[in-house]
Order: sequence, then C-alpha cells, then structure tokens
Amino acid sequence: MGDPARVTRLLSEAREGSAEAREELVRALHSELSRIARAHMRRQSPSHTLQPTALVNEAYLRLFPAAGGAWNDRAHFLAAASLAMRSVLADMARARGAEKRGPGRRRVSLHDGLQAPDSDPGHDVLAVHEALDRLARLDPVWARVVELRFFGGLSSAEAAAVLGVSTQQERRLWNRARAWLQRELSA
Amino acid sequence: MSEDRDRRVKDLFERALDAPPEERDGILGAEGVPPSIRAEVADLLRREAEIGGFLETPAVERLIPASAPPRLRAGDVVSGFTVVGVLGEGGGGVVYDAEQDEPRRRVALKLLPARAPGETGRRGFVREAADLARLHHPSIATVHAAGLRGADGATHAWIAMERIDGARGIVRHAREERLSRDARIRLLLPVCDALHHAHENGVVHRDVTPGNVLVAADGTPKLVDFGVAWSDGGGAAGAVGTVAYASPEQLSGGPAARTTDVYGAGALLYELLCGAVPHDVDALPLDAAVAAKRAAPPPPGARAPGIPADLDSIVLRAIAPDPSDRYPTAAALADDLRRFLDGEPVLSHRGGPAYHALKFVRRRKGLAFAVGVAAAALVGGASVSTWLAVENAAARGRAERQAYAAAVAGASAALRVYDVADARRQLDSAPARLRDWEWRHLSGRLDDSLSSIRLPGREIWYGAVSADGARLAVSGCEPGAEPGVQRTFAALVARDGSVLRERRFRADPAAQSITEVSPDGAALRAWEAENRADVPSVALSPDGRTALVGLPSGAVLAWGEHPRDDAEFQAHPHRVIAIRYSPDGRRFATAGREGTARLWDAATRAMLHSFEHGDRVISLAFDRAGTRLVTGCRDGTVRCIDAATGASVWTTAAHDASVEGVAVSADGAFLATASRDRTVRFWNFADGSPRATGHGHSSNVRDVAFDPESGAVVSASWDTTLRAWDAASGRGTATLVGHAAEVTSVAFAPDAPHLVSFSRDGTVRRWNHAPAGVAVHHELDDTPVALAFSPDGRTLAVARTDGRLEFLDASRSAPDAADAAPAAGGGIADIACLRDGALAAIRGIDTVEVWRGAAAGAAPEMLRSVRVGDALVDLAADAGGDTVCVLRRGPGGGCEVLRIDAASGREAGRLACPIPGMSLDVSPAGALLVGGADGSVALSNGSGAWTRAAVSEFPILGVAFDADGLRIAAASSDGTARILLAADLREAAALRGHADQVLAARFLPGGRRVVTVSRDRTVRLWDPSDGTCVLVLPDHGYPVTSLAVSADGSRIATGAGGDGNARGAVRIWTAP
Repeated sequence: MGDPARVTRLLSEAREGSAEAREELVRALHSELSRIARAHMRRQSPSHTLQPTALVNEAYLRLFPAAGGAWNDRAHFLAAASLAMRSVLADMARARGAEKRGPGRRRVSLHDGLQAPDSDPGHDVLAVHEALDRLARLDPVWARVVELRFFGGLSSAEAAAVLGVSTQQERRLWNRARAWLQRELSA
Repeated sequence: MSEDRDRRVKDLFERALDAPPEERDGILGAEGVPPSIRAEVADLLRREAEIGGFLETPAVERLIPASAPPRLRAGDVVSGFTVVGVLGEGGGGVVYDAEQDEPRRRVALKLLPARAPGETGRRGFVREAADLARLHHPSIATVHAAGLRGADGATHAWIAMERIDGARGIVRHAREERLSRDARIRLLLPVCDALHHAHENGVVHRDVTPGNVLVAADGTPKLVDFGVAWSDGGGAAGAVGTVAYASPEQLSGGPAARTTDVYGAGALLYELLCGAVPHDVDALPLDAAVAAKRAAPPPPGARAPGIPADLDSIVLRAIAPDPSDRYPTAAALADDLRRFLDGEPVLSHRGGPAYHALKFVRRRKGLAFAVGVAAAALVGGASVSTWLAVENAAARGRAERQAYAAAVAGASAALRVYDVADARRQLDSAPARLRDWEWRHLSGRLDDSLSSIRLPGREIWYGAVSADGARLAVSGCEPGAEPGVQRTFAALVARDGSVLRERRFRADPAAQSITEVSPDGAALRAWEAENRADVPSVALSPDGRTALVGLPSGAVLAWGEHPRDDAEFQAHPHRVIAIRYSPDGRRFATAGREGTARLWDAATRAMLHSFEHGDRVISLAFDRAGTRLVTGCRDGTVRCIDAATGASVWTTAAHDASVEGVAVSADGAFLATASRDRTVRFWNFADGSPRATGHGHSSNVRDVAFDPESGAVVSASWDTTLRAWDAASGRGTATLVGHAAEVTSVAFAPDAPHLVSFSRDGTVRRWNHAPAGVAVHHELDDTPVALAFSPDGRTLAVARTDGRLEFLDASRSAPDAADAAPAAGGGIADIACLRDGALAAIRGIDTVEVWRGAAAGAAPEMLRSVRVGDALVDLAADAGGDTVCVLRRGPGGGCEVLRIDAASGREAGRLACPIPGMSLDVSPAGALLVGGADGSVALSNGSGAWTRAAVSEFPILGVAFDADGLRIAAASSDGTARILLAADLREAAALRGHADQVLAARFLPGGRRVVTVSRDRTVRLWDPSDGTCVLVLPDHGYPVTSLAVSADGSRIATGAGGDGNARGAVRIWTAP
C-alpha cells in the first residue's frame, strides 16, 4: 500500500463514519497483511514470529513511519486490522485446506501446526469465520469481540479499548460469545 | 434454528447470567419458556461456566507454524555479539562463532525459536535464561548472556555460550584417544556431577547425547545445549531429545525429571563401554521405538568383553525403563561409579526404601545422627514421617529462597537487555523478607538518570535545551481524549518541570486545519494545514529566551517569555519538520516537508538561503561555528552545506533508511548520524568519509548529540535506551536505562554540563553517562592493587601498582578530581583505613606508612614511615583502630603478626603463627585470622595459641571476619570461597561459582551477604547461610583484584586490572 498519507486519510474518513473509506482501508490492510503473512508462511521473512499482533504491528509500522507520524488512535487501526486479518486468515485457511486435502475438503483441522491446543480442539478457523457472520446478525458486539480476539489476536485490554468498554465487560462479552460459538460449532 | 428463536435463547441466556445465581432457576423455569429453549439456555450456561481456553489461541497461530530462527550472516550483530562464522549445525539449529564487544571474547551464539508468544513467553524465557546463567560448573558450558531480539516486529531468543575449542563428542573422544574402560567411566563422572548441579538448580537437560557432551582440548567434558530445556514447548512427545538416548517416558510425552537425565547419562555410559546404543531404535517409527525401550536391553557385558557384573548392573539400573527403578539422582549414579572404580561394593542392586533411607542419611551429614536416633527410638512409618517433616520444612524455605534468587537473577538478566519494565516486575515479585543488598542495587539500576521531570498526559516528540540546562522547549501530543481528534502542544518548561508557557492545538477530523485552543478548550485561531495531525517541531535559542515552534501549516511561531515578544512567520508552504538553532544563537535552520531546508537570521527572521533537496529533510545540525549546515534526508542521504554561500560541500548516501538525527562534534572533526536502520554512523566532517558504524540499538534511532566536553556521542532510540559511543571507533561505551517508552530526542546542555533526553513517556531526564549499574567508574592506566574506604564512606583510597596513592570521591565519576600522592620508594602492597580516617599502607616489602586521610579536597600527606622488616605481605586495622596489624612471612614456612602503633610508629607486640601466611584480618574483638599459602587458615584469640584448619589444597588469598567475629570468609585460589565458623573453623558453606581464583571476600554489614572478587572478571554476591550466589555483577572487563566495602554497606568498591598492568578500572557499586 506504501502510501501512509492515503491510509491516514482513509482512517480519518473511516473514523468520521465513511463506510466506503472503511472498506477501502480494510482492502488496503488486507493486501499488506496478506503479504506479510505469506512471507511468514514461506519463512522468507527474517522474523519467525507466531504472534498475530506482530503481524498487525508490522503493518502498523509500515503504514506509520516514526517521524512525526502522530496518529494516536491505535484502536481504530486495530479494529480495521482485525477485520482485515479475519479475511486474510480465512483465505489462508481455505488455501491450506485445498492444498492439503485436495478439492472438496474445505475444512482444516486446528491441529495442523498447532503449538498449544485449545481444550476443545475440534473447530477450525473457517468454521469460526462462517459462524461469525451468523453471530453478527444476532449480536454484532459479540461477533466483534471474537473478531478482535481470535482473528486480530488482540489482548483483552486492547479489545476493550477498541470496543470502548471496561476489561471486565470485555471478558463478559468474550465468554458469552465463545459459549454461543462453541454450541454452534458443536451442533 | 430460526433467528427469532436464537434471539429468545440469547435473551434468556443473558438474563440468567446477569441475575444472581440463586435467581437463575426462577428465570429459566418461568412460565411460557418451552422446555427445549430452557435446555438450550442451560447448555449455554454450562458452556459459559466451563469455557476455559476455547478460541484463546488466535487463529494465526494455528495457521502459521513456528518457523526456524533467521539465518545470520558474518557481520550481523545480536545485542553486542558480532557473528564471525558458523561453528556447527544440527537439529537444534545453527551455532555461530561470534565475538562479544564488551568484554572482548569469542562465544558460541545460538538463536532459538521463542517458545510462547506474548508477554508470558517473554518473561518465561528471561527467567529460564536466568536459571541457565546461574549454572556454574566446570563441566557445563557457561551461558554468558541470553536475551530477546526483535526483528521486524518479531521476537526470538538468543543465547551466548562459552566456546569450547577443539571439542569432540565424548564417544568419539574416547575412541580416538583409545581410553581405557576406567578412563571412560572417569570421563563421565564430571558429567554426572554437572547434571546433578543443574538439577539442584531446577534445570533438567533432557537431551544427554554424545553430541551434547563435548570434550574440550584439555580433556574436560562439557555439557552443552541446555537450550533444549526451554525451546521445546514443554515436553511434547517426540519433540525433544534424540530417540536413541531419550528415556521411554520422554518418548511417550511424559514430563522430564532428574531421572530422565539419569537415563541419558546411563545410555551414554552404555555406549562408552560397549560401543553400541542400548536400543537401536533410530530406524523404527516412534511408537515402535517406545515399545522397544520398555524392555530391558542386553547388558553391555553381553556385547563387549571385560565388563564386570557390577558395572553391568550400574548401567542397567541407570537406564531402567521405569524411572522409579533408576538412580534417583545423577549424583547417586556418580557415587556408585566411584565405588566401582575404588573396588567397593556397589549399591546398584539395592533399590527400594532401605536404599533411599540410606541415601538420605548420607546426604544430611549434620542431621544424620539426630535422625538416626529418632529412627532407632521409633519404628517403621513414624520414623519415615519424621524425615519427611524435616525435608518438607527445609524444602519450603528452599523454595522461597529459590523464588527470590530466580526473581533477582531474572531482574539482572532483564537489565542486561535493558528491559527496565520487566526488571521492575521481577524485583516487585521477590519475597520482601529476603530482599538485601542485591535487591536494592538492582532497584537502583532501574534508572541511571540523575533526575527527571514529567509532563503528565503528554508524549514528548521533540525537545531542545538551553546551553545552561535551565530551560527546555518540548512538543508532542496528548493521547487519548476524543476519538479522531489529534491534540498537540508545544511548551517552554523550567528545569523543575513547571510549564512557563504552553500552546495547545487540536486537529479535528472534519477540518483541513489545526486550531489553537485555550486552556479551557476554547478555539483561538486556526491555520490551514494538509498534515494537520502532525506534531509541531521545536527549537530553543541557546540563551533559552526564544522558542521556535514549527507548525504543520508551514508557519513558525516564535515566542519569548512574554506574549508581547511573540511573532509568527511563514517558513515553508507545508509542515515544518525540523528546526535547529546555530550554537551561537545567531541563526536558525528549518526543514520543510516540500523538500527544502532554509537558513534564517535569528534577529530579523529574514531568510538567508533556501536549499533544495531531492527528498524530505528530517534532521538538521550546525557545526559549532555555524558556518556549515548538515541535513539528514528521508532517502538516507546526508548533505553538508556552506552556510555562507548555500553551496553543497559534500553529499553522501549515509544510511539504508531515513536519517533521523545528525550532530557535529565541537571540534568539527566528526559527524554522527542516526537512522531508522537502527545504526549510528560516524563520519569525518571535513569530507563526509565514513569512520565507523555503531550497532546495538534494537529499534529506530531517533536523535544523536555530541558531548562537547568529552567528545562522546549519545544516541536516543525507540528501544527506550540511550547509548554512548566513542566516535572514533564506533564502540559502544555505555547504555543508559530509565525511560519507560521510546526516547525521541537527546541534547547536551554544554554549560550545565549534562545530557537531557526526552521520551514518549512524557519525561525529560538528565544524565551523566557512566556504565549502567555502576555509580562510579574510573578507567586507570594500571591495576589498582588495594582499595580502602574512609570511615564515612565518602572517599575511596586506591593504591596503584606504581606506588601512587589516589583518593577518589566515592559519589561521582570525575577522572581528574582524584588527588594523587606521587610514587615514592616502590609499590604499595596493601592499604587499610584506621579509625580516625588515617590510612596505613605497606610500601615496598619492608615499610609501613601512615597517611593523613583524604577529607574532601585535602591533598594526601604522609604522616610517618616506619621500616618494620622485610617480607611484609598484608595488613589490617586492629580492633581499636589505632594500631596496624602487619603480616610478615617468616623463614621456614611460618609467619608473624606485628602490631604497630599508628600514632608513634612503634611496635606494640608480635605473635608468631605456624602457617605460611598470605592474608590477614582482625575481628572486632581483636582475634587474628591468617590465611595460608598451604590452603589452611589459623585463628588466634590473642593468647598466642592458634587453631588451625586445612580448608583447601590451594592458597587462601583473602580472609575476612563478619561483624560479630563469629564467621569467617576464606577466598581461595581453587575458585571457591568458604564460610567457616570461627568457633571451630568448621565449614558452614562453600561459595562455588567463580571460574577462576577468588582473590578476596568480605561480609557486608549485617552478615547476610558475602561479596567475592575473582580473576574470572566478575564480582559475586552470596548468601553465606546456604552458599547461594544471589547476584553476579556485570563483567568488570579485567580480572578483579581488589575489594572494599564501606562501613554502612551501601557501597562496594572493586578494582580490576589487565594481566600486563597496562589497563585497569575501579568501580563503585551502590545499593541505596
């Protein structure tokens, strides 16, 4: 994307409520995040991190060079980046599923390359991605918190800041949304 | 499921959760709720309560597996280690040959994948690295340093280890050296001891293989690669270890314990004895390998001749499939091997409780008798539970001490990578009851700055300081407030932090302008500005009277102390990125976003020249005379411009990324540049030719400044540190920690003189630069042979090899402030401080001198000089402090202690001592303590009778009493210091950890700590009650030869010098 001025403009327009700017921003972030993520997958990047926030931070640093780049409202960036991450990761999950199991099998097990398995490991990235759309119709804030935490890799405090709630409230939303998703996915 | 139905379920679910638990049943059971919905809500409530870690692992971690650490190339720098080449490569990654800058030495450097992402993983690593750094054993490759390295937003771990020259794997070594059976066993003994040492320190190796047990050129076996202990992710099946040497429980994913390493050592022994591994499973799939390992292998004696049954049974017990059948510890295995070598009956046949009971009694020498009596008096289970109670109580105390030691070591490790925030957390977590000198010392190191002021709620992005240091101009932003609104400010600040003048601005998302606002938020006036959200830049005239503020509109506001002096002019069409005054204050320069730099007359604000650049100018600097202007560009170029004509003098492609800071040395010889490429570079200012590159910052370097006095360069970085550099060599000389966020600007106040730094944490800090953690550091041109504090602790006397006596102010580093007494009549062997502050010294080998104490400012003056007799080796102040005790070597292996009255110089008595004395101390009650060249110590209560004890096979280089005269510390040439009880000279603890001769040991007041210095260049602090090393102070750079502790214990002085005596240093370490 390369042009910080453009991103800054998009961000401020998105903040002012322009849906068009927001979409364009997410598209811009998508291509940047996707490039970084693929570099990591091919292990061509000099870094080797697993941290999703590192991907987001990497994008952040590219977009906002240090000198005088005085944009403080990280929350807006993180929100946009989480949405972009969600679609990047869904794409990656689809591509991996296709590559590993041939056409026709979209689902990819969460055990693949897994370092720290969840206590309930039966669900996959794509399934969560799809279930989120349904959840968003029911409660957009629940869907949002999952997007921020699971796809954006944000910490509880960061997600709370983006949502404009306390960390206790965030924790409550996160637990409820997860309970709901767990039931959906195990159905 | 229909959406309506979903909504109903969700509504009920939330209502139930929001209600108190006792009302939930009522809500669910309410009339009109269909049973199916009720069941679904109950299901959700159950899931909510037990949700655990579901989805807690972010999606990306599932999709992108951990990749290998990056490949380094020669010349790459990792935290002060420069890669020179590759030492070896294996399953665990690449091991690099690297050179450390400070101290200069070759190390083996390894990069590891970070185990767990996030803060927990980071802290875990730092703690585990600290665990490894605590392991000190001749057969464990020393971990010099470890840390985390950030690259492109990612983090991985690195570890720098002792380089073992000429190393071969243990099996290959035994084969090529054609070692006998017993020699092979003896080779394994130190490995077992090393494993036991590691186990006692809570570290399990888990991968004891021929490749990880190397034999150095001198025949010492060395365990390497404890790295596996943290890099594996917690013992997942098959992930760790080498299949042939891995224990069966390890292969099936069980936890690793001491007995895992006992198995590894046993498998190694098996192969050393018969040339084959116990189970040849390398070709088998993992589950088949596990099954094979569950069966006992043939004894080594069945595969090779000449192996007795006893040895077979030792090996088989070590590699028993069931961990509880193995030797419980590596030490037990070693003990049994030693018994075998000595021809004694081995214990390998005796497993079971009786065996363990025997071991227990053996281990607890002191306790054995009492417990034995109890066991005889009671029967069966009762006696066993008594033992357990004893062991549990001891274990609790040990666990707390270990937690404390881990916190302190963790803080020390974090400080080594300048992670102040983590060090603070670690220190906070240390149990308060156990905190002592090292805790206070490390706490004092969290901030090296002299003072700081804070502007609450502000991030400082640009800062400038007046020549006298009294005024500051800062600009930055105020984060938080309203979404979408950028608030910025510029302020003139007094030395004490009070804001003299401030102007605040806001940029609203809707407007293409910035608006100045009053303190109550009212809009004052507006400027049109495309880059309205950018932070203003600032400059301050050297006299501190005028501040210039460059706005995103291209306007520059000039303000003085009163609003009536204010002015405004349009300097550029767009944002003013940088402003800088010339050192004489007569001119200033501005850099505009459109790519020009402009030079202005400060009095008239008339433009003198405008210079076009290809790209944006980010940084500006004048030379001292103001005749040249240097510009640093976004494209990495640096240009030197003649300020009189506007002509370009030279241009150079200086960096790979934006040049964020430039500075010219006061003498005009050097230029320093700072860049986003994380380097600081040094140039000849005359022609722009390169001199050196400074590596070390782990992030964007934002600014750079020259110290006009010393010529040192200081850089400010986003990595939260400042670094000091030698401009000629590019060598880093110090790192300054204290800022809690990115450091954005740095400047010298030449008349103050000190350094001022500005940070996004809203603080402004002032510094004198000295090596981190050292209150005072004096670099010398020879070795300081002895040190002594004045009674008030404010002056440190330093005896130099050439015979000079120096008095240093113990509170500050000022190399030229020392008073030196000229050398006369040979070198000084030792000094000691007397009660009234007078100083006693041994001059040459035969004379005792008494000097007037160096009260601040007074010149040293010799009061008297007495020829006492030859072969004087050590001296100490007597109990009263009026008499000097001198140790004199006698003929025929004995020595004598002479008492000299300091006031008259007359001998007040002498006492012959039967050992060849080398070191001397006197207790507060007047008891004499002598350490001998034969490794013995002798103690006399003054009556003339001596109590003797053999302590070591090597000379006792230093002895010291504690403040009560109850305990003794004896420093030995064998690398160990020992704590003895004065009553009977019994050993109470051994302080093991130094890698070379221990030259001196002292108790700190209070007796809870002992400090030692060693030729291994380190200073260590110990808990004398159990011999734990609680702190290793940063490497001194030279062998540490002398030691003194101030009377109040707040200061420890250490002297170090090179073997050739050409260089040396004195450091004073403080614990406020």
